[in-house]
Amino acid sequence: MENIIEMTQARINMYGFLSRLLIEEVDPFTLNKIKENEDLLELFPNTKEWEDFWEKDTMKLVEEDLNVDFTTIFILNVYPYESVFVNDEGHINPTITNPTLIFYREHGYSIDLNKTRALSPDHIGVELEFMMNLVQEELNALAREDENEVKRLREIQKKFLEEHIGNWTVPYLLAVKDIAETPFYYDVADATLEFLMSDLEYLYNLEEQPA
Amino acid sequence: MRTTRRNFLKTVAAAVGGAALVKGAVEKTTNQAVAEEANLTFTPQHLDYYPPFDKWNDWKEPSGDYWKKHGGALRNGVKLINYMIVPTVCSNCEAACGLTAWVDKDEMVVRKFMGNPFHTGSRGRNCAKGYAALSQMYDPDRIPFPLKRAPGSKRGEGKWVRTTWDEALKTIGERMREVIKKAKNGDEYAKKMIMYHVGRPNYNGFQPRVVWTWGGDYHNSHTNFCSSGGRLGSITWSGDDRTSPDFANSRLIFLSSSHAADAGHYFQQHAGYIADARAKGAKLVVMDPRLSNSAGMADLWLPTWPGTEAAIFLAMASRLLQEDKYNRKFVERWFNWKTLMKDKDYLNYLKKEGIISKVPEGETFDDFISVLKEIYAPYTFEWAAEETKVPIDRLEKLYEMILWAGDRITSYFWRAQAAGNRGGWMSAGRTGNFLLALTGSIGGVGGTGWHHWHALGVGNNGGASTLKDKPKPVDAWSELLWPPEWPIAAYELSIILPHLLSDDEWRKKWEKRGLKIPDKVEVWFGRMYNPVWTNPDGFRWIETLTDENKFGLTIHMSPTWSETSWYVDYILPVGLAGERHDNQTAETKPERWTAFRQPVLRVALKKMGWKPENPARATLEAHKKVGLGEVWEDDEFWINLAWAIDPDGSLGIRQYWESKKNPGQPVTVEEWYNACFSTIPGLKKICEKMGITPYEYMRDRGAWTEETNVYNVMEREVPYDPVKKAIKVKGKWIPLSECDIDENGAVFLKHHNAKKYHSERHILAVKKDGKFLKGFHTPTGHLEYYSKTLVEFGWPEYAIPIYPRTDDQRKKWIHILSHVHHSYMNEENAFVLNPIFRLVYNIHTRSVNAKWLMEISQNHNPVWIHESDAKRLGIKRGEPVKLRVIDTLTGIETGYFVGMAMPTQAIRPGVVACSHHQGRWRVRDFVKVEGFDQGLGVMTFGSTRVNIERDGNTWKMRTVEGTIPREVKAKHHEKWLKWPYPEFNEDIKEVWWKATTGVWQNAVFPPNPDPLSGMQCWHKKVLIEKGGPDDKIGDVVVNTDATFKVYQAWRDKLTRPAPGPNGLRRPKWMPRPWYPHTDSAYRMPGTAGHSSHEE
Amino acid sequence: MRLGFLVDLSRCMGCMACAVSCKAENNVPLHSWRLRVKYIDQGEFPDTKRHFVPLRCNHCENAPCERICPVSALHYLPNGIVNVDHDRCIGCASCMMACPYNAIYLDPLTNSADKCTYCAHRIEVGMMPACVVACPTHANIFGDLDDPESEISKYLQEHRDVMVRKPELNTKPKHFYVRGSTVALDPLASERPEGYTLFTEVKFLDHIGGH
Repeated sequence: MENIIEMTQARINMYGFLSRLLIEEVDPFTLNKIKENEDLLELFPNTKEWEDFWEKDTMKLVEEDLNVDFTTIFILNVYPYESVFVNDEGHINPTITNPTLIFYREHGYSIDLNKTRALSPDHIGVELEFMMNLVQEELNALAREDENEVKRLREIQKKFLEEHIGNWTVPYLLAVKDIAETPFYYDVADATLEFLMSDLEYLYNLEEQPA
Repeated sequence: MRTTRRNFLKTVAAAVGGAALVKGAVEKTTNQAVAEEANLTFTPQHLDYYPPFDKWNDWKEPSGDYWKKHGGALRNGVKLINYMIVPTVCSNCEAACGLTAWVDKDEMVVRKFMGNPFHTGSRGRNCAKGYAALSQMYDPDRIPFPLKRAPGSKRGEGKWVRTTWDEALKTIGERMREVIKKAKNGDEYAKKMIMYHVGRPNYNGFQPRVVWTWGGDYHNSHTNFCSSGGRLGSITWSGDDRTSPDFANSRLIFLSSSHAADAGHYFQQHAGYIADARAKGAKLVVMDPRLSNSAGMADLWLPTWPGTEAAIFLAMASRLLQEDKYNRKFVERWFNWKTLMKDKDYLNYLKKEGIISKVPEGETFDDFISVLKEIYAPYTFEWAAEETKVPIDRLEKLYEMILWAGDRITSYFWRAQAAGNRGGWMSAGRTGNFLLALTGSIGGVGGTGWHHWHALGVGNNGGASTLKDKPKPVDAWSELLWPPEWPIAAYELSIILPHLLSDDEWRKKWEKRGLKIPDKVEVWFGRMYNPVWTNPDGFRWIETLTDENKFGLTIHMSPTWSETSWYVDYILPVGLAGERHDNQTAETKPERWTAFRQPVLRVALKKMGWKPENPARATLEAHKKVGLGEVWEDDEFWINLAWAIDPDGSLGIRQYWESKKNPGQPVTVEEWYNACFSTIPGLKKICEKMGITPYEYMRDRGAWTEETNVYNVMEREVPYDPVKKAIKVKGKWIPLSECDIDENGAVFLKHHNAKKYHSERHILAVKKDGKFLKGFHTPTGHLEYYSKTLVEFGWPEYAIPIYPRTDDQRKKWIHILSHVHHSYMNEENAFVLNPIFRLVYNIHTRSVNAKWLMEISQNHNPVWIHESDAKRLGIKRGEPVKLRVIDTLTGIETGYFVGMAMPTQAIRPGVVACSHHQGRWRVRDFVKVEGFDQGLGVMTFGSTRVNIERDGNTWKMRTVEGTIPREVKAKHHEKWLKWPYPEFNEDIKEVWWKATTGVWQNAVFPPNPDPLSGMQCWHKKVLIEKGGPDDKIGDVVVNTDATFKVYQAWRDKLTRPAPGPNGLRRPKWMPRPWYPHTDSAYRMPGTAGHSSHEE
Repeated sequence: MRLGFLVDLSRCMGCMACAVSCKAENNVPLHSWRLRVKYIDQGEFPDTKRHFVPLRCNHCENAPCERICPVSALHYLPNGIVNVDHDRCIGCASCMMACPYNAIYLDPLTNSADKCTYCAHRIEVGMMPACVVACPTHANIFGDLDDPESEISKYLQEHRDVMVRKPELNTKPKHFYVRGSTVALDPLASERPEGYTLFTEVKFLDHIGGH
């Protein structure tokens, strides 16, 4: 069995990384990091092949291509909010009746939307960050060998994936892939989709195995 | 190429440190955050109207302003304000509704005013004016400190210097001291040469005692352009100057006024009770030439010709009598019919006049009824319909309602037709109360009671807190206040003060007869009173006020600029609803309640531990401390003024304002009002139980109800001791041996031949069925259908409720014929102008400074004219229209004004209407004051700027500019001063109305004092023309010589001067208000009857 | 909980206490109105009558303004109130166009949209809206439509003549009127003659300030 600690840490990183990429436009610093890291580039197969990605000045790439694509996808076309997909009329539901918010609250979390530009707590970036928080807690529990807590936290993660972030994101990210004009965001959507699916499978597997 | 999961993880594992990239939007909730929100909830268990009393000192509520700016509770948009809720009383009309001031304890400002749930009259509710009190408190154009006319400048020049309260006290105190010293040395003139002239009282007591302690006859009021007509009509019936209807339980609310939705006495309180009654099925009938809001919602509107309402009252009375459907039990018990039936002289007089055909032989009640039947037989519905121009079917409907309502009919006689028409006292109260009394609707549940039964004012009664309590009765009678021509006037003839001062001929005539009448007022206080604008003949007021030979030192006590302020010597800013102490009550329902107005910021400061340096000036100190301004209050000012007039006490004035608790110090308002409230037995008892002082009770709750369900007070027993053979009246035992009893059972003191002369009587009680009852405060102890007092003062024609029907009677009884009767309207373009209706959210002077009230009054207060009349005269909507004012007695044209025409269906043909609440003006926009480095705005968003020209006796006024929207900033350098309150007035730059509305019509009106009541008869005959090319809306042209002649004619041709019997200037049972007089003061010098009998 | 409003038109006497109390409570600038009282004169002399109608936001259950707001500045609270957030508002005025009742105005001092919020800030501490407290004739009734014992529910149960403004638009207003006439609520119910109604002239003169 592979090192569970490492695995959990990796999950944390992944959730965090994806959250960052989806919550806001990418910044040159992060972009450069990706460029420089072979392993990371593995996540962006299409972007790797993209000429402009290598040739254009990073700042310009961000301003002229990536930001435009971000706006086109996430601001103008496919709102990255769970409630848009879940309710009939496609409203964003930022109110206290939002099921995702209720989920957060029930499990002892609150959202400070002022930290982001998200209009609602069920933005995909926030949901990813939430998962990250849960996994972070799992890591803490693992470190102090609190079996029950670990189990509990994994339950919550599973539930959240099943009911929320693993659910609506499937059609959502497919739609994003469809609309994305830059290979970069195509890859982001693809990677996120794959990751979420595999993470759920991972949690199921853990359940079946004895700890 | 798909990466496998493991690859995912490996590649990302350490490389990116993704966790650090997140925005940090997700956070664990802590207990703290939850606790803070603990009291806030989207789904409260129940919704209350007011916070619980035990939280009033510390109530937290989110700021509405912050909420809207930051999204409210869902989005971090909650800022809690720490409130202290301090009760007070509104000051925007006389209803005395309760208010609470919500004081922000951190900023020491009032954030809003709401109602007072402890106030059983207003029930926690208010009208627009109550809520607008906030905009008056933080008005950028209010005056922040005392002002004085610049030395060397002329009155009206507009040059002002800043001064201090101390300087004002010293100057005024010294001037008054000179006059009072002379008065105390016996100078008869000096006893009449100071004048306290009140506009809006807003108090029941205190100021009257202030004036009383000065020792002379110094108290004037505004009443005779307000309610004298209404009052006399009621006084002649019951000795009480106004009714107190039980609207809430009434079946028929029959108004010849607009109390359901408009009228000022007592506006929202009455409107609320009327709404309650109607919800239970009561009917509302309104008589009004104009469709007031009340008429607009009424079940029946009787659009009467102005001044003819008596015809309807008498026609209804007549049919009730003919059909024997009057309330026999009540009428027999409480009318003074025995006096009439015994008075053969009078009955013969009636026969001579052709009113009855024969004098009945018997003196029974049935004989009385047959006399009544005969008197009123000619007052048929057909005649009434013609006289009033109301469709006859409406009269029939009204009659049905009267029958259905039984003894639960309510009405109120105050202004409306009583204030508009000559003889208004007769056409309103005298005939109106007759109808009420005939149906027995006097005094019981759902009927109409009397004001003294329900009012509970104790502001004068704090004498237990001072070294001396009551001064002696005043031994002087100022003819400037009560000229001999109007002996039974209700209140002073204040509208002709400038005329009397200027009328040498008149003065000389009376001096020859032994009266001593000054031709100057040495010190004049106008208090919350704007005579230049609100009185008729305003230019005459300007002429006289600016004459230093007529007015020595003039002081205007007012928080704001006004037309009158412009022409005086001192402007002293005293406060509004939440800035002063007063005790006030009003008879708004069958209950006795009383309320306490307070300077809320001072009270809040004190409750928070602040101690003033000088307890007798605490309000001034408090207002300075919070940066409101050097704004004081009347009460503390008057107390300090008494000390300025009489610093060593040698004049005997200081002792009335010296603290008993701390001799040598002025009495504090807390001490005074504690003593006042301690005189209320129920309140005193409760406070003893609670372990607090009455002052503290009222300070914290603002209102107290002493007694509920107060009905039929006339039936209450007066204590009688069969051993002493005495009755107890006002705490004193009076032996019956000192009294006489008349045919009605009225018990009165024997003196001055009171048995013969009703005018001399002091009623103590009424003997009925072997018991002594309170009865009514009239010479006969009963409701006076027949007023012998009027006969004694030379008015036999009007001793009974009557109204002229024929041309002949109209000539003979001209005194009770409206001066705008349709028989005077002979020209094609002759109309009656009704200038006395209200804009429901305005008042006369103070609303001009309330931005919220001005905003909702932007209707271009036009001249409302019926569409058919407009069409006939070729007048179109919005066009200038000229109204020439003609006096019907003399035919004199006094001037004209130009208004904006507005054709409508909401008025009767032949009548036009233009409200007297608008038409304010200023001569300058901003005033530079020496001693302050920012200009003071003068009514900049509520008035128009005008040009005034004078050519001899002809005055011309033309509008030049409208309102001034502006950025309100504090440009002065006084760090302590928050004026002009820029935070509150950010939106003054949004003032969207170009000009205010209305025209200063009052200036064109001559004084028309009703010959009996002294009431200014406000309606005018006007000739209407389309405006010419040179006429601009807002133009006013007046000839003050013409107005003077009209006043003289109304005085000389219509009045019947005193003395009455025994040299009486006035009936003793119609006492002068404010303070008691000596008996000799009541009698004219040089007449028989001056006696030594003191009360 | 669904908070609703009801006006008993037989009681309203046009005193404008509600309009002024609202201004004070919510610091509404001049020239802007959350609450207006309309005066309507009807008929020909001597059969003239006058009606008074307070007009405010209906807090529709199907609110077009909330739907159209692109940034969710207009949002529902859990108690049914449609609330406003100046911070989010971008001043696009779509809501003003969407609202069929002219209930929304643009605050000239902040350039954000604004409207009646049923004094949501007072509800938070269990207090009635200011206009309800003020009304001298108790014509303003407010309370929970979901509570059958509340005063408003009782009014609705006991009256057959319940009206709303523009029911045909399916906005589902939560603001009701009883004991009025169609003249009061339906602008097309009567013809406006040559004459003038008392005090209804709201002239938008040269606009001063703001935008």
